[in-house]
Amino acid sequence: MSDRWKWVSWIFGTIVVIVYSIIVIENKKRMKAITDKYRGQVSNSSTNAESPKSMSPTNRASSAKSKNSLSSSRQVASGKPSHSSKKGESDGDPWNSLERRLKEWDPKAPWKVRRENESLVRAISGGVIPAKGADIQSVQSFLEELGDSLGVSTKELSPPTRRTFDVENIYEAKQVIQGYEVDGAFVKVFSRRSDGAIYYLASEMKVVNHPLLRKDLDLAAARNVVAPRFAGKSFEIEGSDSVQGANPRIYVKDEKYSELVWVFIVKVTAPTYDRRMIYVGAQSGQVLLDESLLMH
Amino acid sequence: MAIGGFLKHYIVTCIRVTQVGTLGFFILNLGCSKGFEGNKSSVIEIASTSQGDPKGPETPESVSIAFKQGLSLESAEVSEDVEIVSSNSSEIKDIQMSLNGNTDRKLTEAPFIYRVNLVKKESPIKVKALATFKNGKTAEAEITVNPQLAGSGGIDPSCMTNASYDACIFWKNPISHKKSVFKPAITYGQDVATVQSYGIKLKGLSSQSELKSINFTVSAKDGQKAVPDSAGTYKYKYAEDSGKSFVAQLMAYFWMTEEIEIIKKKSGRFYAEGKRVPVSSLDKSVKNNAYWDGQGIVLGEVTIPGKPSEVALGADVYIHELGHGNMQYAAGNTAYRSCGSAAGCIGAINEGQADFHVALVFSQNPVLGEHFFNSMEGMPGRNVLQNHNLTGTSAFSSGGGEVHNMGAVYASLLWEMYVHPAMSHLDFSKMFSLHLAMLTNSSTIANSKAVFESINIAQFDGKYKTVIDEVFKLKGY
Repeated sequence: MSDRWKWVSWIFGTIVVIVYSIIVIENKKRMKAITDKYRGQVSNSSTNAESPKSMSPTNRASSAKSKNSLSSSRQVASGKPSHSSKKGESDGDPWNSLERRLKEWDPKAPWKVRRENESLVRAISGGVIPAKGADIQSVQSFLEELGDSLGVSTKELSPPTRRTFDVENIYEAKQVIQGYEVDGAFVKVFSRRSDGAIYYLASEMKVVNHPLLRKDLDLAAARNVVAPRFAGKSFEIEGSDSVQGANPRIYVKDEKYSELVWVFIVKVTAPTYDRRMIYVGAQSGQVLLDESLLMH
Repeated sequence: MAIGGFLKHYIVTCIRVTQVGTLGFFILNLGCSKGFEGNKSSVIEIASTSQGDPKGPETPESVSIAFKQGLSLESAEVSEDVEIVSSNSSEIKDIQMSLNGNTDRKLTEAPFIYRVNLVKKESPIKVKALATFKNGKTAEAEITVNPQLAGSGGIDPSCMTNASYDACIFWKNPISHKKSVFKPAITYGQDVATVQSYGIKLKGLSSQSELKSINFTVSAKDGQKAVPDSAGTYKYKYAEDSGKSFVAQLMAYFWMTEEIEIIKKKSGRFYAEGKRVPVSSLDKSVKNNAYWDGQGIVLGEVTIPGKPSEVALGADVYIHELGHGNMQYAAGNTAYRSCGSAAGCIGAINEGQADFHVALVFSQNPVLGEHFFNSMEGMPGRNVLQNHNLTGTSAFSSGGGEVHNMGAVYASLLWEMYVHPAMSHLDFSKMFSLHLAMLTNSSTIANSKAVFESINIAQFDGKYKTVIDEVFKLKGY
């Protein structure tokens, strides 16, 4: 190739890279503006309140449709919505629908939605949602109504369980994918016992992308991975701890890596006391987590 | 705002009659409770009557001052809520309060909540209320408040020979009990007979032959399992305890049982109740430390002051550790890693709330680690009485994100809300227990404000918004 063609191809390539970068940056700016806009709507509840009528059955269906597939919820959770939405649009945008619903339930409340990475909802607070927390069925309907507004698909939630205390009920639904619990992933709904009003929602739902779900190692084989780590120490692999079940669970290391793991608790009694939690990948056979349970 | 409300459920135990003002007699009912014992409440009630009126009271002017100490013994420790109610409140102009003859707050708005701050106070305090009515009449009432030590036992120099006790231990820890440090530091088998005088009855034992209940099973890995003596009691002198560690086991059993009882009385719940927590009161492989291990409690050997002894001699330590357990049963397993910013993290919250368990049990003396450090000031940096000005930013910049370091901010935040003049201690105790279940891995000290706000809105009609705002601002959030 002549020098002349080399220069032409170099310049052309540079232009392509620059143009692509500009497009990416502009897209990010646009999405940030959208995010800020909806955050602003939440914090300023006295403005932009929409009529409950605007939440038409069609809109609900649209929203529900968008949450039905795992892939769509992942798309939302792992980044930003794939489309912009203006205030009042009936486009099934999960953020829009969440804020709209909150305002329907209590237009005057200073609602706060705490998010992580701009998409995953971690907490909803600031007002009360009448009657939606009266019983397990109501809470289940409430969570279905929220849909993928939480940033991941509520289709992955187990039926809620309830703990009852003097003044409140606490409902907890665990994130379950293909029958396996996602480690540490749940939604908790807090409701007032006197009238069933929901006053707080906490979510630790996780984005699970392409989890490794093959069980190449059974529990006994995984146990054999654990024991050598404690050679020379007095230890016991506990078998009856509530943390360790007969079923493996999905451990989400990060958004790029999830794997089915066997969970072990190991009590070390010498030379120094310790109690450790160890996750062994059921497919990879790797120790993915080994940390002390000691708090002091 | 009109003064309103009703006086109910309070027990008036004796009555005096006195004359106040010029236009009539005022009947002054003075509650004669002996401080904070039992479940009784003391009441001061002032009511006016017209002199010589055969029909009885002509004007229903009255002011009742109820010392709401009856809910629990311990709730009275830090301060007392004084609720003033009246059947004809519009006639009252104001009420001047005084403590031991010194003028204190003048109450001008209803509902009145007047608090007697009892932190670090042990002597009786005379609380006086002087009500001025709009027609110029006055009425006054007085009551004596006797601060008492937390716990169902009592200090008795003759404890070892008094048959009414099951065991003789230390109140909180040997330093707190003695009210001074040991020189040199206390060690195994030391003769501390003059200090080992807190007489207790052991509660909830499911067996007469071991320290076991539905809540705990106490033993000592590097000691002997405590068993009753020939008289069926556990009266063991610390001077003869070397190698056994019976006193440490008794301390652990008694004070953790008290922790559950006290916090349940204050807040209505203790999540770790009934969980049969195994407790090892002495594991010498653990130096200068103690653990909640996700299931049980392991207490080590303290060597910091120079001479070794059981960490378990300090009740504050395992009250803290059981605090971790309480949160685990409330919120589930949460992460325990350093915080990445001054906003704090769930690990710091966990540490701070565990410290606050100590403050709830020993509200009058919430210092942590006196025995551990053989110091009246306790563990450096963890004293809520000294951390009023500690903020998230200052703690993070000086000590980084280590969970105990940042936890001190959270403990201080909780304490400042608890002792805020506009906060009811019982309400905050409930708020505290409720909030434990609402914490998750993504909780930070900063965003925990939304948790308290939610509880305040849902369970307390929003009346503590100012307290929450002020205290979070004080802590830099």
